[in-house]
Amino acid sequence: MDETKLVQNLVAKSEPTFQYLVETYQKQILNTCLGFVPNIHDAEDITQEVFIEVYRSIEQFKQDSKLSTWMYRIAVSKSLEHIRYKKSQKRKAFFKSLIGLDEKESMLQVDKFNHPGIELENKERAKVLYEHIDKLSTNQRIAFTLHKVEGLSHQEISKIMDNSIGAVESLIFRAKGNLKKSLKIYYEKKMI
Amino acid sequence: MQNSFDMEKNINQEIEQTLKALDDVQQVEVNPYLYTRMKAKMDQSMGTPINFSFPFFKIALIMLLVSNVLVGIYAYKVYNPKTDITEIITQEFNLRFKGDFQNL
Repeated sequence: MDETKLVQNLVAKSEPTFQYLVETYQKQILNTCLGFVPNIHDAEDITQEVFIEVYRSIEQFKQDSKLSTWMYRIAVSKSLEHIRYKKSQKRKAFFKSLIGLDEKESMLQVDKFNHPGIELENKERAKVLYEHIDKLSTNQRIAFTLHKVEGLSHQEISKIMDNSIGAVESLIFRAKGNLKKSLKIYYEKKMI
Repeated sequence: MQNSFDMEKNINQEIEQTLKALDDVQQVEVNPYLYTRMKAKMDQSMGTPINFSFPFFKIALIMLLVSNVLVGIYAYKVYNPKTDITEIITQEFNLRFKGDFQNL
């Protein structure tokens, strides 16, 4: 289906078109969310939220970029929103445990690593890497994840982030450097 | 000296391997019920709009208005058993009929 027609039908709230949109992009969006939030259940919830947001705010899509780029932006922002929410939940649980309310168990339940796309032998290392990606700045995290996990080109990332290709390259380079530093400290502590 | 060199080498190997941990990530298949679940969530959050053109609502509205009027009349009669509406108006506006009208 032609993208302009697709958008027109979505604006008209056509249900078959919305179903077509979901079926076409659901795998892409789920895997993007999973790249940021490595838990299949959470990623599925975020994917649903992304499509609901697309359905509700399609009128705001100006068609100055591809629909998929716009949807990627929503997926990234929803994933980051989810990460912030989980972090705040974790902080709340920590403070509750400090004042005596037993929240230790729920604290452990937060952020359970469950990425079905990662092979078992790589799971431990991937988990470590995700913990360190979590320490990166937001922009470095977005650029690195979309490039490394999603395999998107610098050009595609620049469109999603609304940045120049040079800026994206710089973000990925700095992200790799910061990850190396942070992992070095981690492994030094582990080996001593 | 050799030990610290080996350790440095091991750490670098670990870092490189960890950075490669996401190189072979497989694309995950979507749950076949994703659309159905999402649709249910959307319907639930939007709610079913009430159709006021439905005859039931018109009849119910008329019945409600009629019952309100009837209850109002009944309550008025219960709390003011002997008073007449003309009497109340006369008292309220201090009206007195004089002259020929009193004999009527």
